[in-house]
Amino acid sequence: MSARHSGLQKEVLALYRRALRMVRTKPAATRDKFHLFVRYSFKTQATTFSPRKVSTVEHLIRKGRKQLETYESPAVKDCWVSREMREWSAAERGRHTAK
Amino acid sequence: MSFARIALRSAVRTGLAQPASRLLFNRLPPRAAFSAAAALEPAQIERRVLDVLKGFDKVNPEKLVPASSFTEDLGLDSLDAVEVVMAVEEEFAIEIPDAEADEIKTVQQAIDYIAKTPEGELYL
Repeated sequence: MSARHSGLQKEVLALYRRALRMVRTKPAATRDKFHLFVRYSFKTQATTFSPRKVSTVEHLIRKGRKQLETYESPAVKDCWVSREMREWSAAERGRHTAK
Repeated sequence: MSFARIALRSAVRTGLAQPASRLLFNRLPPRAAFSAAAALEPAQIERRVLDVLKGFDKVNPEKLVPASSFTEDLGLDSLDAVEVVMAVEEEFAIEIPDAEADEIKTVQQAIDYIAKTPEGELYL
């Protein structure tokens, strides 16, 4: 997974990078929420869908792009963070500090 | 004549209405404010890149050396690696194009990239 990335994987990584750049343009007060939202969306979908299902991944990329276009609008200044997202974040942090 | 006097008075008045800092600025002799930041020391770049990585929960500080690979030695997945490179970008106030960011897979590569990057535009 590390040495060479496939074209599809590069597309996902480019989308992730673009999403993280979107986070930076948001007001400092809500930036953490956007960051959590982006990380949660990518990380959970990366583990729930097989990377071998190319058409599924392609669909997710298209969906993500559309979604990101909406979020990139400067009018979007805040985003909603669900309880699952907060729990996921806390669990992830716990997993790494415990190690 | 009287018209000129009135004009002069109003000019003086508007001059006084300016903030003090502005007046001070006008009094200083004009000079070009050029300055160039010195190039970053390689050791400093290395320390700053390593500090960025220490900020990540997932990274084990004991395994962190310049030669370590993000995915193989530090146990990051490809998404985390993207995040690391983005954090390095932020630390040095530069933007790394996608194609070049994809090539950065080890701490050393990140350090080298910063070292060969000309001074970024200063954000004034």
